[in-house]
Amino acid sequence: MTLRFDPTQSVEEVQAALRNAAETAWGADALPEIELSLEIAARALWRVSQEPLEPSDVEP
Amino acid sequence: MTHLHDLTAAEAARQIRSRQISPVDLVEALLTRIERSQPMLKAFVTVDYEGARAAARAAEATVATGGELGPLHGVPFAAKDIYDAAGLPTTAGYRPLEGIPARSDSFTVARLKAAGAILVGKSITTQFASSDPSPTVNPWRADRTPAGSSSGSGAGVAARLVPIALGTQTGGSILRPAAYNGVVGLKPTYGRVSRQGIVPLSWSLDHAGPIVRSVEDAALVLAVIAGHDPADPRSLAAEVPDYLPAVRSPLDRPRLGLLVDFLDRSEPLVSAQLQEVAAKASAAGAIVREVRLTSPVDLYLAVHSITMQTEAAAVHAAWIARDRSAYSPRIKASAMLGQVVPAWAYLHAQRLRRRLVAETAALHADVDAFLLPTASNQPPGPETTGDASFQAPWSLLGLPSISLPSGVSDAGLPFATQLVGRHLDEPTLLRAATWLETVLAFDAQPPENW
Repeated sequence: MTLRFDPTQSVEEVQAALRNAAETAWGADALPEIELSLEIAARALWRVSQEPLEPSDVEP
Repeated sequence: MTHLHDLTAAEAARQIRSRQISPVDLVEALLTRIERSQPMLKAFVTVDYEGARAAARAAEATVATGGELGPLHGVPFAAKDIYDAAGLPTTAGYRPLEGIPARSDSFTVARLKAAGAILVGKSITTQFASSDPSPTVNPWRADRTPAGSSSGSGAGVAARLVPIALGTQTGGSILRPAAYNGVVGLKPTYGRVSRQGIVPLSWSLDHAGPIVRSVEDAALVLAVIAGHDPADPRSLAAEVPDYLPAVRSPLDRPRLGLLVDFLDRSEPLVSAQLQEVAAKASAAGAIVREVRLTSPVDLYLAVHSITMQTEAAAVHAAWIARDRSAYSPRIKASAMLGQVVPAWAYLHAQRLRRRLVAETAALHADVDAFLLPTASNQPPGPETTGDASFQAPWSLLGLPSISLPSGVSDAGLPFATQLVGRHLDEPTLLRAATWLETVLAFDAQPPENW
């Protein structure tokens, strides 16, 4: 489970990876403060990773 | 006889100009209502009694001496408490900012004052214009949210405390408060109105715009606040058309694209009401045809969510690092988590955003405006600010959108209809909205039980 671009990951796997990254950044004690946003953020990350783009596709 | 507090901004401006009413009387009437409503509605965080009265006296003197009158001469307004107004604190709903007066006016407040409008105070915002509910109460029903983040602006205009309140929208924070409070909200094209002097939430999504009680007022305020501002790096240099002729010449037969994707996501009551609106519009001569978005709505929402979260995380990074104890739970969670969203995800979202802009523009080519409910639901309870999913796509794309009240349910809550226009084509959007406003003929008001 990682936060790299990987369209094969499930929402749950993305959420677990995001939680791990948050714990690394903020510490385990801070996880309750982050919980409110975790599911929505994971779902959004998962959703955009279902839309692969070619290198020559649109620029940001 | 129309009470002073029932006058729209345009009506008040006309009557002041023709000396039928006095700006002093108007301001006094509204200050009295603000004071009386405040214990229950909590629409204001700061009321500038002294400043508003002084400005009203000056406005009256100018009328008496035949001086030059701006388009909003003597008309009171409120500014959401993330707009700077000289001498008043900009708290953004964040305790550490209380008591620190702003040194100057934001671009928009300055424009309104220069047009003769009178600032009566700062309306309550959710903290940092995010999604933690504010204490403001919905005037239609005290057990329902007034929405956010422009909660005081929406409730204050609905309760006839002011005819104009400035709001901002990053997700749905102008249109949804307008919808849940039964009034009109306009979110102009991104960059059409300067964000200078406004506390940011998400740079590429933040929009400034008015909450009012008529389309004419929306046009009147937009005409004053639109325009290039070199102090806002995203401000557009495009010429500003005259918006007022638009509302004086509504479209004869507006072509409306009914966005069925959103009907599928609406609560049944809301969907049924929007279909009634579409039927009324058709019967009155509109050409209504069904349109389906090329990409699913959930992709728009995911791209919006990543964009807002990562930008808000960057906006708040230094303050969150220093002391996050005064942050409300939702904005804090979002700003903290946004720091670990990978860079590829933000950039990938921006690439998808560009694709969505192009796809949606193609669908817009054959219609004057998209038609959809403003919100998926009627106002829910006060533990939330409601559902932004019907407004956020247009914030993401930067397209102009307007919300009109379109009915009242048996539960005593307002329904609202949204029109979405083409990039920088506010004139057509306002012409379509004026036409629809006439067809809908909405005239309900919230109960005055405060």
